[in-house]
Amino acid sequence: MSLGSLSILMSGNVRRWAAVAALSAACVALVPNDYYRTVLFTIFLFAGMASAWNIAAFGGQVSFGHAAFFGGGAYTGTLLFLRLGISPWLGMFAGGVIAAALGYAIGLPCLRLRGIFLGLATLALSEAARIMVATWEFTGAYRGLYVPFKPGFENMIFDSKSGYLLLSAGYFLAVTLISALVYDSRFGLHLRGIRADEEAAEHLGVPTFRRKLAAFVLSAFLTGLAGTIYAQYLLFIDTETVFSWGINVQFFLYGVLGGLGTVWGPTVGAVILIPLLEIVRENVSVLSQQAYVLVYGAILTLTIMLLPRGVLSALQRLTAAAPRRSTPLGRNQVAYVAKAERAEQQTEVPS
Amino acid sequence: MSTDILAQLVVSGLLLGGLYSLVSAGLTLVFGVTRVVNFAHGSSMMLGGYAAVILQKALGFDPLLSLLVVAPVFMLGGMGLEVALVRPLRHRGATALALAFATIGLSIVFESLVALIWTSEYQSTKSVISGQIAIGPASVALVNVAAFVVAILISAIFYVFLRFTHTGRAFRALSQDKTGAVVVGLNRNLLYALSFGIGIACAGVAGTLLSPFYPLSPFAGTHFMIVAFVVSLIGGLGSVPGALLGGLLIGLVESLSNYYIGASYGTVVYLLVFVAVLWTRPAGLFGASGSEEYGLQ
Repeated sequence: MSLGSLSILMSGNVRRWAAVAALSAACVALVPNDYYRTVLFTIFLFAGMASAWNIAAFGGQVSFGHAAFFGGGAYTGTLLFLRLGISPWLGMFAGGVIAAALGYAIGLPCLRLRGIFLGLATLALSEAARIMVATWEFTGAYRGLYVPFKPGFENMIFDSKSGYLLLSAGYFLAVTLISALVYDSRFGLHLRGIRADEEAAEHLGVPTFRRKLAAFVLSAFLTGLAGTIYAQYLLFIDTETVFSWGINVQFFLYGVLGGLGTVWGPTVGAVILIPLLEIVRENVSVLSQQAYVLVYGAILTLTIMLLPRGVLSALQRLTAAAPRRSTPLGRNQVAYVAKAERAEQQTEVPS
Repeated sequence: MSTDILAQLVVSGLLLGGLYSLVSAGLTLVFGVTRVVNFAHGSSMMLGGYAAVILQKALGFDPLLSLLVVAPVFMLGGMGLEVALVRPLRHRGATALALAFATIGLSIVFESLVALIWTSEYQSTKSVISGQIAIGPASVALVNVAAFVVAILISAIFYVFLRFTHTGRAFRALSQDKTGAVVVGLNRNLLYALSFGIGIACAGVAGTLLSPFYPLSPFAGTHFMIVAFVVSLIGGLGSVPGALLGGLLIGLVESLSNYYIGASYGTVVYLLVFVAVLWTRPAGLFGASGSEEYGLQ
C-alpha cells in the first residue's frame, strides 16, 4: 500500500463518515418504537440509494433512470429466492451484479450524451425496462411478486423491525463509506474534474469516458443492492414499487436538495425530506388522503426557491469556514482542483 | 386483408402522433427558449383534459368549444408560472437542475390536486362529433380525426408564427444566442414568459383534444411527458419542426409495434428507437449540431 492510498483514510470525508456512523449507531440504539424504526429504515435505505446514485453525479452525470438498477436488483434477488430458493444475502449481490451489467449496457450509449440529454435517455431506458418487466409472465407481469413470510436470518426476513433497521443502517454506512473513499481518491478527483470541465480534464490526460462509465457502473451496483433489501422488507414487489417514475424522482430530489455531487448532500436531502413527508402526512391527512401529497409538493417547490443551490451549499455560505484539504496533492493537482472548483462555481445559469 | 390492417394501423398511429406533436412542440419551445426542462408539462396536459371535463359538467361545453377557453387560460397560467416560479429562481442563480426540481414539485401539486377532487376515477368528455369515418380502407372515429386536424392546424400556425413573425424570430434568436439577443434589444423577460405561456397552452389544448377518447386519470400526464421528451429529443430539443415530425413518427412506430410485436411493446420499441437515434445523432434528427452540449450543468 502506497503512502497516497493510506492518507486517504485520514481524509476529511472519511473522518466525517466516522462521525456519521457514530450518530447512526446512536439513532439505532435510541429509537423508541416501531413507528420511528420504520421511518428510520426508510431514511437509511433511501439515503444510501441516493448516495449511490450520486456517485455518478460526482462526474456530473445526472441520471433519471436509476429505478432500472433498483428494480433490476429487487427482481433478481426476489426471483432467485422464490424460484431457486437462493438466500437473499447472495441474491442481493447477484442483484447488484445484474444492476452493474445493466448500468454498463445503459451507460455505454447514454454516457456519450451530456446534461439533460443523458438524464432523459436514461429515463427512457428505465421506462422500457419497466414495461418489459410488467408484461413478462416470468417476472409476474402486472401482478408483481409476493415473498412468503418465513422469518429467519438466512431468508433476510425478520420478525421485528429492528432487523430491517440494522440491515438498512449497514447498507447506508457501506455506501457512504465507499462514496467518501471514491470522492477523495484519484478516481474521484478525475470525476470532479470531468464535472467542472470535461474538455479540460480530457486534455490533462483523464480518460473521461472510461471514468464516467466506471462511476456509472459502481453507482448502479450499489443501487441494485438496495433492491433486495426493499423487496424482503415489503415482501411484495411490482413495477410500480421499484421501477416507477416516482422512484426515479426520489434519487433526484434528495440529491439536488442536499447538494449534488457532494458526499453528504443526498443524505442531508433524505434526512430532511423523508421526515417532512411523514410530518405532513400525520398532520394533513385528517383532511383527506391526497391532501398531504399536495402540501408536500408545494413545500418541495418553495424549498428549492429558498435554497436553489441545495442545503449544504447554503450551510457552507453561512459558516463560511476556510476550506481545508487534508489529502496531500501535488502542485499540478492543486492547480487542477482550484480550476475545477472555480469552474464549479461558474457553471450556474447566469441570470 | 393485411394491407387493410396496415392502413388502419398507419392511420391510427398518425392520429395519435398528431397529439404527440402538439404536446412536444410546447415542451421543446419552452426548453429551446428558456433552457428549462419542464417536468410539469405532462401534468399541465392532464389539467387541460380535466378543464374540458369541468367545462362539460358545469356548462355543457363540447371539448372542441372548450378549446376557446382552455387555450387563453392556460396561456395566462403558463406566463404566471414563469413570472412567479421560474423568474425568481433564475434571479437567485438557480442551476437548471434546481429549476427541474421546482417543476417536479409543481407536477406533484397538479397531480394531487386533481386526485383530491376526482379521486383516481377515470374521467372523459363526450363530443357531439360521433360516428366513424372511412379513410381509404381504414375506418376511424370522427372525433379522433377532428382532434388530429385541430392539433395539426395549431402546430402549423405555431410553425408559421415562429418562422415569419417578429416575435417568432425573437424566440429563435433567444434560443440561439442569449447574450446576442439581449444586446440587440429583445425583451428577454417578456419572451421567456410568452414561451412558457405558449408551451403550457399547447399542453392544455392537447389534453382537451384527448379528453373525448382517452380515459383521464391524475397520473395520465406521466406517459405523455415521457413521450414528449422522447419526441423532442428525437426531433432535436428546441426544434419545433423536429417535434412535429417526431410526434408523427413516434405515433406510427408505437401503433405498428403494438400490433406486430405485442401489446404495450410499442412503448419499448420507440424508446429503443430513441436511444438508437441519440447514439447516432446526439443532437437529434433536426437539432443543430452541437446542441446536445446545452443542457444541465
